[in-house]
Amino acid sequence: MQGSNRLEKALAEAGIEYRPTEFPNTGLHCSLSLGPDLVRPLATALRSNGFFIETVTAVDLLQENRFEGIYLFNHYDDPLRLLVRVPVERSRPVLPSIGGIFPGAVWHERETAEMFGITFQDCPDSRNLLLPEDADYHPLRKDFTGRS
Amino acid sequence: MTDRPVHHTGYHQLAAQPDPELVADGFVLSIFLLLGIIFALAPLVACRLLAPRSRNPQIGTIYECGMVAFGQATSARFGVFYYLYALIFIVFEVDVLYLFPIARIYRQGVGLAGFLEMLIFVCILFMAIVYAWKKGVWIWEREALSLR
Amino acid sequence: MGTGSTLPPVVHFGCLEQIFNLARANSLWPLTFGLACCAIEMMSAAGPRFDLDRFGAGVFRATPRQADVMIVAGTVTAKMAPTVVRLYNQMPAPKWVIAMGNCAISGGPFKLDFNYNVIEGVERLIPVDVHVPGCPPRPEALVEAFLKLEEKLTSDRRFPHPPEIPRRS
Repeated sequence: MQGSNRLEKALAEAGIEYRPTEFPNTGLHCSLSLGPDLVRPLATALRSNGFFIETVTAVDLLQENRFEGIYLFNHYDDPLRLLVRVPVERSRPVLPSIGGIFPGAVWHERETAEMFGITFQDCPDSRNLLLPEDADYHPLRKDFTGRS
Repeated sequence: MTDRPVHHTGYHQLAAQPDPELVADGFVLSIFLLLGIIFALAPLVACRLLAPRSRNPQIGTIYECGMVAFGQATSARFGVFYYLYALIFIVFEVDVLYLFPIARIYRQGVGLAGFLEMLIFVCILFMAIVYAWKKGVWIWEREALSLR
Repeated sequence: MGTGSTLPPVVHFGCLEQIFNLARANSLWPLTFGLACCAIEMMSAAGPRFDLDRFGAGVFRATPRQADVMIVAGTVTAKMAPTVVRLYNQMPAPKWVIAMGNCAISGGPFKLDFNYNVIEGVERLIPVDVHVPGCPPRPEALVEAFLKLEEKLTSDRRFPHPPEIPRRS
Protein backbone atom coordinates (compact mmCIF):
# COMPACT_ATOMS: atom_id res chain seq x y z
CA MET A 1 0.00 0.00 0.00
CA GLN A 2 1.34 3.37 -0.92
CA GLY A 3 0.71 4.81 2.50
CA SER A 4 2.90 2.45 4.40
CA ASN A 5 5.50 2.81 1.71
CA ARG A 6 5.66 6.49 2.45
CA LEU A 7 6.06 5.82 6.13
CA GLU A 8 8.63 3.16 5.50
CA LYS A 9 10.55 5.55 3.32
CA ALA A 10 10.47 8.26 5.93
CA LEU A 11 11.57 5.91 8.65
CA ALA A 12 14.31 4.52 6.47
CA GLU A 13 15.61 8.06 5.96
CA ALA A 14 16.04 8.32 9.68
CA GLY A 15 17.48 4.88 9.89
CA ILE A 16 14.64 3.28 11.81
CA GLU A 17 13.01 -0.03 11.18
CA TYR A 18 9.31 -0.01 10.30
CA ARG A 19 7.10 -2.23 12.44
CA PRO A 20 3.39 -2.00 11.62
CA THR A 21 0.65 -2.43 14.20
CA GLU A 22 -2.96 -3.44 13.87
CA PHE A 23 -4.88 -0.27 13.26
CA PRO A 24 -8.32 -1.45 14.52
CA ASN A 25 -6.79 -2.49 17.83
CA THR A 26 -4.46 0.35 18.58
CA GLY A 27 -5.56 3.22 16.35
CA LEU A 28 -1.98 3.47 15.11
CA HIS A 29 -0.29 2.34 11.99
CA CYS A 30 3.10 2.18 13.64
CA SER A 31 4.38 2.40 17.19
CA LEU A 32 8.01 2.98 18.02
CA SER A 33 10.19 3.42 21.06
CA LEU A 34 13.26 5.50 20.46
CA GLY A 35 16.09 7.12 22.27
CA PRO A 36 16.10 10.91 22.64
CA ASP A 37 18.82 11.47 20.03
CA LEU A 38 16.73 9.90 17.25
CA VAL A 39 13.76 12.24 17.72
CA ARG A 40 15.10 15.15 15.68
CA PRO A 41 16.28 13.13 12.66
CA LEU A 42 12.96 11.32 12.62
CA ALA A 43 11.02 14.59 12.79
CA THR A 44 13.03 16.05 9.93
CA ALA A 45 12.45 12.96 7.79
CA LEU A 46 8.73 12.98 8.54
CA ARG A 47 8.42 16.69 7.80
CA SER A 48 10.02 16.32 4.41
CA ASN A 49 7.62 13.49 3.59
CA GLY A 50 4.51 15.50 4.35
CA PHE A 51 3.66 14.35 7.85
CA PHE A 52 2.26 16.65 10.52
CA ILE A 53 2.51 16.56 14.28
CA GLU A 54 -0.70 15.64 16.09
CA THR A 55 0.40 16.03 19.67
CA VAL A 56 3.38 16.06 21.98
CA THR A 57 2.71 14.94 25.51
CA ALA A 58 4.14 12.68 28.21
CA VAL A 59 3.23 9.85 30.54
CA ASP A 60 4.43 9.66 34.13
CA LEU A 61 5.40 6.10 35.09
CA LEU A 62 6.08 6.56 38.76
CA GLN A 63 6.73 2.94 39.63
CA GLU A 64 9.26 2.48 36.86
CA ASN A 65 10.79 5.86 37.70
CA ARG A 66 10.68 7.33 34.25
CA PHE A 67 8.75 9.64 31.99
CA GLU A 68 7.81 8.69 28.47
CA GLY A 69 7.61 11.50 25.97
CA ILE A 70 4.80 10.80 23.48
CA TYR A 71 4.87 12.11 19.91
CA LEU A 72 1.95 11.44 17.56
CA PHE A 73 2.46 12.05 13.85
CA ASN A 74 -0.07 11.77 11.07
CA HIS A 75 -0.41 12.44 7.36
CA TYR A 76 -2.91 14.56 5.45
CA ASP A 77 -3.40 12.34 2.41
CA ASP A 78 -2.84 8.77 3.51
CA PRO A 79 -3.96 7.20 6.80
CA LEU A 80 -0.63 6.92 8.59
CA ARG A 81 -0.63 7.36 12.33
CA LEU A 82 2.71 7.00 14.03
CA LEU A 83 3.35 6.93 17.75
CA VAL A 84 6.83 7.49 19.14
CA ARG A 85 7.60 6.87 22.80
CA VAL A 86 10.81 8.31 24.21
CA PRO A 87 11.67 7.16 27.73
CA VAL A 88 13.67 9.57 29.90
CA GLU A 89 14.70 9.27 33.50
CA ARG A 90 12.49 10.92 36.04
CA SER A 91 15.12 12.76 38.02
CA ARG A 92 16.40 14.80 35.11
CA PRO A 93 13.93 14.64 32.21
CA VAL A 94 15.40 16.23 29.09
CA LEU A 95 14.05 15.82 25.57
CA PRO A 96 15.13 17.46 22.32
CA SER A 97 12.68 20.03 21.03
CA ILE A 98 11.13 19.63 17.58
CA GLY A 99 9.82 23.19 17.64
CA GLY A 100 12.28 24.19 14.97
CA ILE A 101 11.01 21.47 12.62
CA PHE A 102 7.30 21.53 13.42
CA PRO A 103 6.37 25.05 14.65
CA GLY A 104 2.99 23.71 15.74
CA ALA A 105 4.66 21.56 18.36
CA VAL A 106 5.87 24.55 20.35
CA TRP A 107 2.65 24.98 22.31
CA HIS A 108 2.44 21.25 23.01
CA GLU A 109 5.98 21.30 24.32
CA ARG A 110 5.24 24.33 26.49
CA GLU A 111 2.29 22.57 28.05
CA THR A 112 4.17 19.30 28.56
CA ALA A 113 7.08 21.17 30.09
CA GLU A 114 4.97 23.00 32.65
CA MET A 115 2.73 20.05 33.49
CA PHE A 116 5.44 17.39 33.85
CA GLY A 117 8.62 19.34 34.35
CA ILE A 118 10.30 17.99 31.23
CA THR A 119 12.91 20.32 29.74
CA PHE A 120 12.83 20.62 25.96
CA GLN A 121 16.24 21.61 24.66
CA ASP A 122 16.36 24.53 22.22
CA CYS A 123 12.65 25.10 22.30
CA PRO A 124 11.95 28.46 20.59
CA ASP A 125 9.55 29.44 23.36
CA SER A 126 9.75 27.92 26.81
CA ARG A 127 7.33 30.07 28.80
CA ASN A 128 4.44 28.56 30.67
CA LEU A 129 1.39 28.11 28.50
CA LEU A 130 -1.46 27.62 30.98
CA LEU A 131 0.00 27.99 34.43
CA PRO A 132 1.02 31.34 35.89
CA GLU A 133 4.49 32.55 35.03
CA ASP A 134 5.84 31.96 38.54
CA ALA A 135 4.43 28.46 39.01
CA ASP A 136 7.02 26.06 40.37
CA TYR A 137 4.85 22.97 40.60
CA HIS A 138 4.08 20.32 37.98
CA PRO A 139 0.46 19.25 38.32
CA LEU A 140 0.29 16.20 36.06
CA ARG A 141 2.97 14.28 37.88
CA LYS A 142 1.59 11.31 39.73
CA ASP A 143 3.03 12.48 43.05
CA PHE A 144 1.42 15.93 42.86
CA THR A 145 -1.09 16.37 45.68
CA GLY A 146 -2.07 19.99 45.41
CA ARG A 147 -0.34 23.27 45.88
CA SER A 148 -0.54 23.31 49.65
CA MET B 1 -25.98 99.32 14.38
CA THR B 2 -27.18 102.55 12.80
CA ASP B 3 -25.26 104.43 10.16
CA ARG B 4 -23.38 107.21 11.85
CA PRO B 5 -20.77 109.52 10.47
CA VAL B 6 -17.36 108.74 11.84
CA HIS B 7 -16.50 111.51 14.31
CA HIS B 8 -12.92 112.58 14.67
CA THR B 9 -11.93 113.21 18.22
CA GLY B 10 -8.99 115.51 18.81
CA TYR B 11 -6.36 114.72 21.41
CA HIS B 12 -7.90 117.13 23.88
CA GLN B 13 -11.07 115.10 23.75
CA LEU B 14 -9.44 111.83 24.80
CA ALA B 15 -10.96 112.15 28.24
CA ALA B 16 -14.44 112.11 26.68
CA GLN B 17 -16.79 109.40 27.68
CA PRO B 18 -16.91 106.29 25.60
CA ASP B 19 -19.77 105.79 23.23
CA PRO B 20 -22.73 104.46 25.28
CA GLU B 21 -23.94 102.19 22.52
CA LEU B 22 -20.61 100.53 22.28
CA VAL B 23 -20.47 100.14 26.04
CA ALA B 24 -23.89 98.49 26.10
CA ASP B 25 -22.92 96.16 23.29
CA GLY B 26 -19.70 95.28 25.03
CA PHE B 27 -21.57 94.52 28.21
CA VAL B 28 -23.97 92.19 26.43
CA LEU B 29 -21.13 90.48 24.63
CA SER B 30 -19.17 89.88 27.81
CA ILE B 31 -22.24 88.42 29.52
CA PHE B 32 -22.67 86.14 26.53
CA LEU B 33 -19.03 85.10 26.68
CA LEU B 34 -19.24 84.42 30.37
CA LEU B 35 -22.35 82.33 29.94
CA GLY B 36 -20.66 80.35 27.20
CA ILE B 37 -17.70 79.58 29.43
CA ILE B 38 -19.97 78.63 32.30
CA PHE B 39 -21.96 76.36 30.01
CA ALA B 40 -18.79 74.51 29.18
CA LEU B 41 -17.36 74.35 32.69
CA ALA B 42 -20.49 73.68 34.73
CA PRO B 43 -20.86 70.01 33.74
CA LEU B 44 -17.25 69.38 34.69
CA VAL B 45 -17.77 70.95 38.09
CA ALA B 46 -21.03 69.07 38.58
CA CYS B 47 -19.29 65.83 37.70
CA ARG B 48 -16.56 66.51 40.23
CA LEU B 49 -19.10 67.10 42.96
CA LEU B 50 -21.84 64.62 42.24
CA ALA B 51 -20.12 61.58 40.78
CA PRO B 52 -18.55 58.72 42.69
CA ARG B 53 -14.90 58.23 41.81
CA SER B 54 -12.62 55.26 41.34
CA ARG B 55 -9.21 55.68 42.92
CA ASN B 56 -6.66 52.99 42.21
CA PRO B 57 -3.27 52.94 40.49
CA GLN B 58 -4.62 51.44 37.31
CA ILE B 59 -7.53 53.75 36.58
CA GLY B 60 -5.62 55.79 34.03
CA THR B 61 -3.58 53.07 32.40
CA ILE B 62 -3.97 52.29 28.72
CA TYR B 63 -6.58 49.66 27.97
CA GLU B 64 -4.98 46.68 26.25
CA CYS B 65 -7.51 43.89 26.94
CA GLY B 66 -6.37 43.70 30.54
CA MET B 67 -2.70 43.28 29.67
CA VAL B 68 0.05 45.74 30.48
CA ALA B 69 0.64 47.90 27.42
CA PHE B 70 4.16 48.47 26.16
CA GLY B 71 5.64 50.58 23.41
CA GLN B 72 4.94 54.16 22.41
CA ALA B 73 1.50 55.43 21.55
CA THR B 74 2.93 57.10 18.45
CA SER B 75 3.09 53.73 16.76
CA ALA B 76 -0.51 54.34 15.70
CA ARG B 77 -0.39 55.90 12.26
CA PHE B 78 -3.05 57.46 10.09
CA GLY B 79 -3.04 58.06 6.38
CA VAL B 80 -1.44 61.23 5.08
CA PHE B 81 -4.31 61.72 2.63
CA TYR B 82 -6.20 63.37 5.44
CA TYR B 83 -4.20 66.49 4.58
CA LEU B 84 -6.96 67.22 2.08
CA TYR B 85 -9.40 67.78 4.92
CA ALA B 86 -6.94 70.18 6.52
CA LEU B 87 -6.66 71.96 3.20
CA ILE B 88 -10.40 72.47 2.82
CA PHE B 89 -10.66 73.68 6.37
CA ILE B 90 -7.90 76.25 5.93
CA VAL B 91 -9.43 77.55 2.73
CA PHE B 92 -12.83 78.18 4.21
CA GLU B 93 -11.48 79.44 7.50
CA VAL B 94 -9.20 82.05 6.02
CA ASP B 95 -11.92 83.01 3.59
CA VAL B 96 -14.40 83.69 6.35
CA LEU B 97 -11.81 85.43 8.47
CA TYR B 98 -11.08 88.03 5.84
CA LEU B 99 -14.67 88.37 4.75
CA PHE B 100 -15.81 89.44 8.21
CA PRO B 101 -14.34 92.96 8.08
CA ILE B 102 -15.49 93.33 4.49
CA ALA B 103 -19.02 92.50 5.58
CA ARG B 104 -18.74 94.96 8.41
CA ILE B 105 -18.07 97.98 6.23
CA TYR B 106 -19.77 96.87 3.06
CA ARG B 107 -22.84 98.96 3.51
CA GLN B 108 -20.78 102.10 3.90
CA GLY B 109 -20.10 101.99 0.24
CA VAL B 110 -17.11 100.26 -1.26
CA GLY B 111 -18.14 100.86 -4.83
CA LEU B 112 -17.35 98.78 -7.84
CA ALA B 113 -13.62 98.78 -7.12
CA GLY B 114 -14.15 97.27 -3.73
CA PHE B 115 -16.50 94.65 -5.11
CA LEU B 116 -14.00 93.61 -7.75
CA GLU B 117 -11.21 93.41 -5.20
CA MET B 118 -13.30 91.17 -3.02
CA LEU B 119 -14.27 89.04 -5.99
CA ILE B 120 -10.64 88.52 -6.95
CA PHE B 121 -9.87 87.56 -3.34
CA VAL B 122 -12.63 84.95 -3.29
CA CYS B 123 -11.63 83.61 -6.69
CA ILE B 124 -8.07 83.07 -5.57
CA LEU B 125 -9.30 81.13 -2.58
CA PHE B 126 -11.61 79.22 -4.86
CA MET B 127 -8.55 77.81 -6.64
CA ALA B 128 -7.95 75.63 -3.60
CA ILE B 129 -11.45 74.21 -3.92
CA VAL B 130 -10.80 73.46 -7.59
CA TYR B 131 -7.61 71.66 -6.58
CA ALA B 132 -9.51 69.57 -4.08
CA TRP B 133 -12.15 68.90 -6.75
CA LYS B 134 -9.47 67.54 -9.02
CA LYS B 135 -8.28 65.35 -6.17
CA GLY B 136 -11.76 63.94 -5.89
CA VAL B 137 -12.58 64.78 -2.27
CA TRP B 138 -16.12 65.74 -3.22
CA ILE B 139 -16.89 62.20 -4.37
CA TRP B 140 -17.50 59.83 -1.50
CA GLU B 141 -16.64 56.41 -2.78
CA ARG B 142 -18.17 53.26 -1.45
CA GLU B 143 -14.93 51.51 -0.67
CA ALA B 144 -12.21 52.79 1.62
CA LEU B 145 -10.50 55.98 0.58
CA SER B 146 -7.79 54.87 -1.80
CA LEU B 147 -4.37 56.40 -1.68
CA ARG B 148 -3.83 58.54 -4.75
CA MET C 1 -22.28 52.80 44.01
CA GLY C 2 -20.21 49.66 44.00
CA THR C 3 -17.62 48.96 46.63
CA GLY C 4 -13.89 48.42 46.50
CA SER C 5 -11.76 51.20 45.23
CA THR C 6 -14.62 53.66 44.68
CA LEU C 7 -15.19 56.76 46.74
CA PRO C 8 -18.65 58.23 47.33
CA PRO C 9 -19.49 61.59 45.77
CA VAL C 10 -18.47 64.83 47.44
CA VAL C 11 -21.97 66.27 47.55
CA HIS C 12 -25.07 64.20 48.19
CA PHE C 13 -28.43 65.28 46.90
CA GLY C 14 -30.98 62.74 48.04
CA CYS C 15 -33.56 63.35 45.38
CA LEU C 16 -31.01 63.77 42.63
CA GLU C 17 -29.32 60.55 43.59
CA GLN C 18 -32.59 58.70 43.37
CA ILE C 19 -33.00 59.99 39.85
CA PHE C 20 -29.43 59.06 39.02
CA ASN C 21 -29.88 55.59 40.43
CA LEU C 22 -33.03 55.12 38.43
CA ALA C 23 -31.19 56.15 35.29
CA ARG C 24 -28.21 53.94 36.13
CA ALA C 25 -30.38 50.95 36.91
CA ASN C 26 -32.16 51.13 33.60
CA SER C 27 -29.03 51.45 31.51
CA LEU C 28 -26.52 49.04 33.00
CA TRP C 29 -23.99 48.55 30.22
CA PRO C 30 -22.15 45.25 30.69
CA LEU C 31 -18.52 44.56 29.93
CA THR C 32 -18.13 41.49 27.76
CA PHE C 33 -16.09 39.27 30.02
CA GLY C 34 -17.01 35.75 29.08
CA LEU C 35 -14.29 33.38 30.18
CA ALA C 36 -15.79 29.90 29.74
CA CYS C 37 -19.07 28.10 29.16
CA CYS C 38 -21.13 30.66 31.05
CA ALA C 39 -20.25 33.07 28.26
CA ILE C 40 -22.49 31.08 25.94
CA GLU C 41 -25.42 31.55 28.26
CA MET C 42 -24.56 35.23 28.55
CA MET C 43 -24.57 35.58 24.78
CA SER C 44 -27.83 33.72 24.67
CA ALA C 45 -29.29 36.10 27.24
CA ALA C 46 -28.27 38.98 25.01
CA GLY C 47 -29.92 37.31 22.05
CA PRO C 48 -33.47 37.81 20.84
CA ARG C 49 -35.17 35.13 22.89
CA PHE C 50 -34.13 36.17 26.40
CA ASP C 51 -33.63 39.78 25.49
CA LEU C 52 -31.43 41.81 27.81
CA ASP C 53 -31.87 44.92 25.72
CA ARG C 54 -35.38 45.51 27.05
CA PHE C 55 -33.79 46.32 30.42
CA GLY C 56 -31.30 48.66 28.84
CA ALA C 57 -28.49 46.16 29.33
CA GLY C 58 -28.10 44.94 25.79
CA VAL C 59 -25.18 47.17 24.84
CA PHE C 60 -22.17 45.02 25.65
CA ARG C 61 -19.09 47.24 25.65
CA ALA C 62 -15.71 45.91 24.67
CA THR C 63 -13.82 48.41 26.77
CA PRO C 64 -14.10 48.83 30.54
CA ARG C 65 -14.10 52.62 30.21
CA GLN C 66 -17.67 52.60 28.95
CA ALA C 67 -19.06 49.76 31.04
CA ASP C 68 -21.08 49.86 34.26
CA VAL C 69 -21.33 46.21 35.21
CA MET C 70 -18.78 43.45 34.80
CA ILE C 71 -20.30 40.01 34.30
CA VAL C 72 -17.61 37.49 35.27
CA ALA C 73 -18.95 34.57 33.28
CA GLY C 74 -16.74 31.54 33.65
CA THR C 75 -13.74 30.08 35.40
CA VAL C 76 -11.07 32.47 36.64
CA THR C 77 -7.64 30.85 36.48
CA ALA C 78 -4.52 32.05 38.27
CA LYS C 79 -3.15 33.22 34.95
CA MET C 80 -6.22 35.36 34.27
CA ALA C 81 -6.53 36.77 37.78
CA PRO C 82 -4.35 39.88 37.29
CA THR C 83 -6.27 40.68 34.12
CA VAL C 84 -9.60 40.50 35.95
CA VAL C 85 -8.34 42.86 38.63
CA ARG C 86 -6.83 45.26 36.10
CA LEU C 87 -10.04 45.44 34.09
CA TYR C 88 -12.09 46.02 37.23
CA ASN C 89 -9.72 48.81 38.21
CA GLN C 90 -9.97 50.38 34.78
CA MET C 91 -13.74 50.69 35.01
CA PRO C 92 -14.88 54.13 36.14
CA ALA C 93 -17.20 54.44 39.12
CA PRO C 94 -20.05 53.58 39.64
CA LYS C 95 -19.45 49.95 38.83
CA TRP C 96 -20.94 46.65 39.86
CA VAL C 97 -19.96 43.00 39.42
CA ILE C 98 -22.15 39.99 38.65
CA ALA C 99 -20.49 36.65 39.37
CA MET C 100 -22.15 34.28 36.93
CA GLY C 101 -21.91 30.56 37.29
CA ASN C 102 -20.56 28.26 39.96
CA CYS C 103 -16.95 28.80 38.91
CA ALA C 104 -17.11 32.52 39.47
CA ILE C 105 -18.91 32.11 42.78
CA SER C 106 -16.73 29.51 44.42
CA GLY C 107 -14.60 27.66 41.92
CA GLY C 108 -17.47 25.37 41.02
CA PRO C 109 -16.50 21.87 39.93
CA PHE C 110 -12.84 22.75 40.35
CA LYS C 111 -13.01 23.24 44.09
CA LEU C 112 -10.87 20.25 45.04
CA ASP C 113 -7.83 19.51 47.20
CA PHE C 114 -5.50 19.23 44.27
CA ASN C 115 -6.82 22.32 42.47
CA TYR C 116 -3.74 24.09 41.21
CA ASN C 117 -4.85 26.82 38.85
CA VAL C 118 -8.43 27.94 39.54
CA ILE C 119 -9.27 30.88 41.75
CA GLU C 120 -12.03 29.59 43.96
CA GLY C 121 -14.50 32.38 43.48
CA VAL C 122 -13.93 35.75 41.89
CA GLU C 123 -14.90 37.31 45.20
CA ARG C 124 -11.35 36.63 46.31
CA LEU C 125 -10.24 39.21 43.75
CA ILE C 126 -12.94 41.86 43.34
CA PRO C 127 -16.11 42.77 45.28
CA VAL C 128 -19.20 41.07 43.90
CA ASP C 129 -22.74 42.46 44.02
CA VAL C 130 -24.86 39.64 42.61
CA HIS C 131 -24.11 35.93 42.51
CA VAL C 132 -25.87 33.79 39.91
CA PRO C 133 -25.60 30.09 40.75
CA GLY C 134 -25.82 27.43 38.08
CA CYS C 135 -23.52 25.42 35.89
CA PRO C 136 -24.30 27.17 33.65
CA PRO C 137 -27.19 29.30 34.84
CA ARG C 138 -30.09 29.66 32.45
CA PRO C 139 -30.27 32.93 30.50
CA GLU C 140 -33.35 33.78 32.49
CA ALA C 141 -31.22 33.56 35.61
CA LEU C 142 -28.91 36.21 34.20
CA VAL C 143 -31.93 38.39 33.44
CA GLU C 144 -33.02 37.88 37.05
CA ALA C 145 -29.53 38.92 38.15
CA PHE C 146 -29.98 42.21 36.33
CA LEU C 147 -33.36 42.69 37.96
CA LYS C 148 -31.79 42.01 41.35
CA LEU C 149 -29.09 44.54 40.62
CA GLU C 150 -31.72 47.09 39.65
CA GLU C 151 -33.47 46.35 42.91
CA LYS C 152 -30.21 46.89 44.74
CA LEU C 153 -29.87 50.32 43.15
CA THR C 154 -33.40 51.60 43.26
CA SER C 155 -34.93 49.47 46.06
CA ASP C 156 -37.88 48.97 43.78
CA ARG C 157 -38.19 45.85 41.75
CA ARG C 158 -39.39 45.55 38.20
CA PHE C 159 -41.86 42.67 37.84
CA PRO C 160 -42.21 42.11 41.59
CA HIS C 161 -44.68 39.32 41.10
CA PRO C 162 -43.82 37.23 38.08
CA PRO C 163 -46.91 35.84 36.36
CA GLU C 164 -48.03 32.35 37.24
CA ILE C 165 -46.95 29.77 34.73
CA PRO C 166 -50.01 27.67 33.93
CA ARG C 167 -49.26 24.07 34.80
CA ARG C 168 -51.01 21.04 33.60
CA SER C 169 -52.44 19.22 36.59
